[in-house]
Amino acid sequence: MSTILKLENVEKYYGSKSNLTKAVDRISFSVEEGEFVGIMGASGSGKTTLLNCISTIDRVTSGRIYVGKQDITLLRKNALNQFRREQLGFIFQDFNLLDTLTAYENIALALSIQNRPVREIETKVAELAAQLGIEGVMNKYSYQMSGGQKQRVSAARALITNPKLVLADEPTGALDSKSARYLLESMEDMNQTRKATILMVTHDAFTASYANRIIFIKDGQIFNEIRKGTDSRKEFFNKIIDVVTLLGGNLNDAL
Amino acid sequence: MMLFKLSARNLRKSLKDYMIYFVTLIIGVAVFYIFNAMDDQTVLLKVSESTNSVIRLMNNMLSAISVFVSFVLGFLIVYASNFLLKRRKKEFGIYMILGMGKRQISKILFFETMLIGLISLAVGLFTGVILSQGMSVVIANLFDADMTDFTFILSKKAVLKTILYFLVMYVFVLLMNTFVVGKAKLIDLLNASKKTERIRVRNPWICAGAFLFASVILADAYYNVTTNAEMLTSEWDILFQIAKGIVGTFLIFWSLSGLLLMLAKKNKKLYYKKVHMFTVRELASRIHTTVISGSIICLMLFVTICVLSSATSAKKSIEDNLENMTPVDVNFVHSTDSEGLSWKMPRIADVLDQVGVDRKQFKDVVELDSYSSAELTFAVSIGEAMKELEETSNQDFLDYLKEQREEVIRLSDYNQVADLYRLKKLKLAENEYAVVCNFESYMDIRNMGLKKHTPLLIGGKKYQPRYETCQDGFLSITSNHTNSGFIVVPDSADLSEFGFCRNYYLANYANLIKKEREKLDAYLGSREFDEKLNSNTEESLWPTVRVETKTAIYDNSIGLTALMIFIGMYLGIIFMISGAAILALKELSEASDSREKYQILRRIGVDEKMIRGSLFRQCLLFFAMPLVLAMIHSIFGIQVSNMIFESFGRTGLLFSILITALVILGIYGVYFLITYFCSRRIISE
Repeated sequence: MSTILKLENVEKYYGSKSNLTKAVDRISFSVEEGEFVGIMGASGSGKTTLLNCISTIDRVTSGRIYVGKQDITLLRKNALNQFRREQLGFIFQDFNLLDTLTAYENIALALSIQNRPVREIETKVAELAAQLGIEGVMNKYSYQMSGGQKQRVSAARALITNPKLVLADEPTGALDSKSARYLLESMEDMNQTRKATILMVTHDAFTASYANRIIFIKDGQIFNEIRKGTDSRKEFFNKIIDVVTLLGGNLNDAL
Repeated sequence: MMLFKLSARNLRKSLKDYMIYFVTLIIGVAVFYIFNAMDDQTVLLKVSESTNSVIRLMNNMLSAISVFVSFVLGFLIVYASNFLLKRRKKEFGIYMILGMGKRQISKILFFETMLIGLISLAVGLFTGVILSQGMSVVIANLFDADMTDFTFILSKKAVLKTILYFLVMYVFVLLMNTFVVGKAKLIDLLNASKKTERIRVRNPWICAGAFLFASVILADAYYNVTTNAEMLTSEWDILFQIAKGIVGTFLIFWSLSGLLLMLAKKNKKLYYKKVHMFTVRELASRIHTTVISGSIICLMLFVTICVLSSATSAKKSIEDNLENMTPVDVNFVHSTDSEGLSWKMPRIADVLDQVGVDRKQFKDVVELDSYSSAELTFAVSIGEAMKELEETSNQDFLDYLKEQREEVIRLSDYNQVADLYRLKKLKLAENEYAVVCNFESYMDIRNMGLKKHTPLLIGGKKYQPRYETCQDGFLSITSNHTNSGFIVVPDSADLSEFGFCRNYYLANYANLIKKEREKLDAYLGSREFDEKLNSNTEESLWPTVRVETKTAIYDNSIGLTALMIFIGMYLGIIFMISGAAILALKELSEASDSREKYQILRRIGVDEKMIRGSLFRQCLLFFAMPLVLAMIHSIFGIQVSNMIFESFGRTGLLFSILITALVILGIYGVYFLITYFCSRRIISE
């Protein structure tokens, strides 16, 4: 198994010299191919900043981030865009679907910007839609879909290009518990059947319990790391809660 | 005071994004002032009497058009303020959460509207006053007025009028804003930005049907106003065609988004390439929400194109014509119908003697008589061709042709005129006649008769046409081609059964001194002389005598030219800037609404170049749509205005279309470019 993502001493500072905030403070970890990794932390712990750095939306202050063998902190402009559209998939908390496009078109867009042939787009979208159970909403606009459907469309858009790495930022944040569970099961399924490597940021212990490994972040630094191993999801969930408690109850909105 | 500060700050903030709207407002005010100030500017001009009357007509028309223009500008202001209000719902929601009452919000809006109003009025008036000084020079030049005592003119009347008109518009906006705020619910205000817009897509087949239907009624209207124009007899017929045009335009815009989408989707290869589907969808949704304003803008552009091109074409033709059409300084002619008069009537030479005009002042004099007979009418002279006309023309026109007596003159008389006017001299055999005419639509009818070799029976003798077409020529000097035709017969023709029709007296001024010539010219062109000449008509001493001086014709034509140019410019500028401003506002607000969408595109890895390309295409097509349809309308509209202005000739058509295209593409293009660059800045923030 190869390493998909490798962070080396990543730092991100905000503010001026007199008033410096270390949002990300010397974080290093790596993600193997086919892993489903969760990053947990309270609001303001730096987890979203970290995700933004990995997704190249934000720049690191220092340190290296490798995706595959490529150091993405060295990429500029069009190379960055190319990297994003070919290697990464995004799932956002607020879906980020284009409201003038249908669900089908939202998914297809990810392929059409890579100039893939129409035939390929059609078969791939149909296949993935069936797998995610959203064939019924393919011709609907985002205002016609439920939150859960929107998020699965968003997931489909992220996965359709077979990216090296799928980044999910609080994917269940705007969903009710039933939709959240359905989405997470879908993501788990994608992880297992499609071997999609997923890096998910969340502050919700239940959501996190679907991952294989959790990295806890506190004040910009790695605080702890736990693996699911052979545990059931229930056992893993309890372990997570333990760590959250250890974190000092700062995650009082965990459940 | 706090509220006022808030308003001022809000204004400054939105000023940046909606600069184009404020500039439009300022231009609107300035243009409004300039054209209304013309009244006071022209009063001071030292011009001849005939020029003066044209100027009065022009000012009256401009004043009437101002009312119409104020409606257009009012529409723009109401649209824009409504629009700006919608975009600020969240801001008002926050004010309300902070405990501000609706009355206070209304007050903020009041201050803002007042500020916008006052600033745009002040700046606009200032600009208008400055620019209108330049206009003074243009006007004076145009009317050949004395420019020696040029003064700075500030038209108080126009200032007051501008202020009054715009105040009324702003008060209206104020009332409307208060109403909108009063109706709003807090929760809606707060969630206004979050609400995903409902994308209603019309059934593509209905759209295709509507588009087809619109094309058919437009094509029908096009056909009816051009090729089939003779069948339009009443005003209602014409209004009906216009109504078809309006409905057709509206339906085109109504169906356009659905159709565009359907066609784009059909071409999958293109649709699913790069961000094309995003471009198409965005454009479709924009067109979808601008059906009414899009149609109005399209129609305004159409009117602008037609008015501007016919004004410039008429100007050019008039200038080209004048030189050729006024070969002598003055002509006198009996102004009667061609009904026969008594031979005992005094000739014009006698009349001139009687009213005390010294005929020694004239040289190159040509006097001639014309004849007419109830037996020889227009209908008779075109003979068989009448039958064809009966099928296509309306009854009024046919009756006219049957009643209208032809004017007949002798060959030697005509050749004398031709000599003086430097026209082609005619040669006729003993049994031949010729027709001289330069009014295009009459020429067409007469040529039909001539082609059929229609013989004329004069004094019991048959005459054949010498030429198969009308000969170019005229007797009275005029500003344009309005000679509907007369018949030239050999000197030997027996006209004893004909009555006396008119007496012509054509002459140049003899005096060598320019001052004296001008004095005579001014006298002959004055109302005083006209009254003296025609005060005897009631006693039937002699029939009405019409005097045409070259100068008067020039003045009139120039006045007419100025009238058309000014009206064209006034309407054209206002229409175009308001239309373009509305499109710009819509596009800019869409851009700021879509900021997030472009963010999403960037996140999924779309190159900046592709994003800009998409934005450029959206912007370009959005601006082009009404213009393209307006241009198609204009192809036919210009033909119609050509028919109306036919007597002016068509010399300047290509030139005028080029000028118009340049003006429109220039102004419209500037709006488009500014809009594009502003929206690009907005989406990359």
